[in-house]
Amino acid sequence: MKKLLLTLVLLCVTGLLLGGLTLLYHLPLDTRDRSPQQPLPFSHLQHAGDLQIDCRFCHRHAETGPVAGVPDLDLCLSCHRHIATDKPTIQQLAGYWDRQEPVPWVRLHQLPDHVYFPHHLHLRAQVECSYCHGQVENMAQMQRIASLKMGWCLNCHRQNQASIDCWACHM
Amino acid sequence: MKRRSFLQLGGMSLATSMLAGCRKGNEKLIPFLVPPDDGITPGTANYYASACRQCPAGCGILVRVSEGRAKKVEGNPRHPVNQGKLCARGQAMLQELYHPDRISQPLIRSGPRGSGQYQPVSWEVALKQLVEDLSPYLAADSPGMVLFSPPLRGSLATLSKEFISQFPNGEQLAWEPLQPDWLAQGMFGARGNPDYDLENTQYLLSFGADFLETHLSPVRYGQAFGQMRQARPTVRGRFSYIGPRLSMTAASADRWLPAKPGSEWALALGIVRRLLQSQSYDAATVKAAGLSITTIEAQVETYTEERVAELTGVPLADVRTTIDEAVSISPALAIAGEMLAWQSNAAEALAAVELLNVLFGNLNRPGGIYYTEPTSKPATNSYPDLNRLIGRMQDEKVQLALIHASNPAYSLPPSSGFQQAFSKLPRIISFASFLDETSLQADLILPDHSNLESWGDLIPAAATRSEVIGLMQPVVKPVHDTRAFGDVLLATAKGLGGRIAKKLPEQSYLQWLEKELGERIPDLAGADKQQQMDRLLQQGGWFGPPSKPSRIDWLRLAAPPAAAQFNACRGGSV
Ligand code: SF4
Repeated sequence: MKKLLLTLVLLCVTGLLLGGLTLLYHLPLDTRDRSPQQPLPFSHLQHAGDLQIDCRFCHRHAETGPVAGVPDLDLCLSCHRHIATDKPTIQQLAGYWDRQEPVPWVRLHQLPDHVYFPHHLHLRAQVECSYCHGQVENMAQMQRIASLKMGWCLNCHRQNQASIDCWACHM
Repeated sequence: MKRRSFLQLGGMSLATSMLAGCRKGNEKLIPFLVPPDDGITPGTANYYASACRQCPAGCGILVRVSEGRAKKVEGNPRHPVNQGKLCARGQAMLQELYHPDRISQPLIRSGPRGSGQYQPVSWEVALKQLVEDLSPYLAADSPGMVLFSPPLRGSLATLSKEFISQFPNGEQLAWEPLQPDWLAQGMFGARGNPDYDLENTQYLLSFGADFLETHLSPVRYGQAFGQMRQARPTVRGRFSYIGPRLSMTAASADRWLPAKPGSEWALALGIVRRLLQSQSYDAATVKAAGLSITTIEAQVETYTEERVAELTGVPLADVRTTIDEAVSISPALAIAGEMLAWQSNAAEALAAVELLNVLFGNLNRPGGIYYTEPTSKPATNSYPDLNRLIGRMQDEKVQLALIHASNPAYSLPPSSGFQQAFSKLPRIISFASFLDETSLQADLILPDHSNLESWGDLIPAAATRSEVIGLMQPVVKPVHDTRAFGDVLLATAKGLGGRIAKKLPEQSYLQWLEKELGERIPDLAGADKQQQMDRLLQQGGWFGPPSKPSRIDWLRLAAPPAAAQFNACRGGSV
């Protein structure tokens, strides 16, 4: 009798634990904002869409290094010292420069520390920026469209016959 | 603890550690205002060669710099001193750079001395103050002033000497507890420090020399020690340590003989006595040294094993085995360390170890000691010099002190009287990066750059098989509003004007450095100077031809070791 009870309890606990873990994986527990308010209302719609500036003009390191990089303030001002200087947001931008303070952009895409994602290798394999980042040329305010979960990565790796070795990303 | 509470606590800590893993909100993306000149690729590191000035050994380093920040320091494999290895102090260099307590801008004292109350000021104000403080000392009848520094080599040595010599009553006192330069004076009166061939010796006797931690060149001798122990297929070198403290080096020895402080050398004489008795000394070296065997015999006659055991306080059996080993294993090498040099009987103790090496026949042979011509000889002062200075400070003959890269209020014992005399000085100016015992007394602090932000040349204090001038270059932009000591001296000279400004016309320390290096490094003599300089900076320094052997002053041996007496430690030193 006692043995049976014990086994039952143990089974219940295991079941609960497994159930809990499954729930944790599937529930939308990501508390990060998918389309956060930025300190300055920078519009990709205007820059990448209307003006058709190449992504790599600002995100300069995408082809050479693992991190694509955000443009330094000096680069923003290389245009905006002359263009649209009368707009309040550009004046705000100039204010950051005058105070010698970097703009604290809110980060949209972030992988955990145990994942190595090299931009340059993906560009070399001719993956479109939009595959992960969405049609940014249509976004006035940036949104994250991909889940960036491991299953999502693996899906694409399988489809394109890229390596699915653990060490490819977890090194 | 009960099982129940253990489980409760365990569960709780598990839950909290999992909670801590949950991410809250979005992080920030902080861009550069202006990217660094040499261009960075985020996520890809740059490596720069430089040199470590954390101790007199002067090892070469490679620094990994990501996104303009120094991240990791490792040894430079091309540097002859450390060959890619680095000690803990060198590794900790980053802590100096990023330390939250670093002095981030010039300070002028606003409260009473030692209270740590300072008013941050701009460099313009601080330099003006320094010029104001120093200008009265240019007069011929001015009171004395002193520049404290560690023994400097290379361009900073010439610059500080040139600077201080413009003050009629100015002097420089170069003293640092870890400086090994007493070795050059204490042993054989050679012109440079010795180069021990540890790799090839079979029996090593260390008389209080902690060569794995601080003595001479820890990384170099740490490697050599490893080779002595393990690199030869048939021999494993043996090692006995004689000294009162169970240091890390002593703990690595096969036998530790905890001799009373200041008595270590009795064992050296015990070995000398046995070498003579068993006729196993090197007669040729003794002859070359002009020593008479009969005189030595008479001098060491009384150092029987029993007497050595009694004098040192080491068990007789240990004394006997050590003497047996030292006499029967060849080549054997005896090295003397700070434990001997800091006693009042240092001269005699060093002479005893010196004599032992002569009888071993150790000069300029494999497994022995090589003396080479030093690349540069530092201005160094001894402890008696320091005592004299303290006397002059007490008599109020010295009124102003400049303190560069040293902390004498900490490293000198209070019995020296330094702390008291120092705190009464009318004016103290420090170039420290931290508020330590000495800089807390300062009236004006002009913080120096850290190691990784500085230009410089570093000549290793220990003898090297080939000539070496290590080069330091700034690998990051200065983290704080600090200025290099050399630049401050040059700016002050300019501010003082007149003769001193004419003597030191260079605009920056880098100019001074390049001028000095041009004189000393043959590669920089040609028209392609800039390319050569870049090449040297890239490889971490100038690694020249094999060092020239140095003359040995045999006459010094005339001081008879038997005249030595056991003095109680009076805090004297060579
Ligand atoms: S031995 Fe001295 S110079 Fe070499 S790494 Fe260590 S602290 Fe630096």
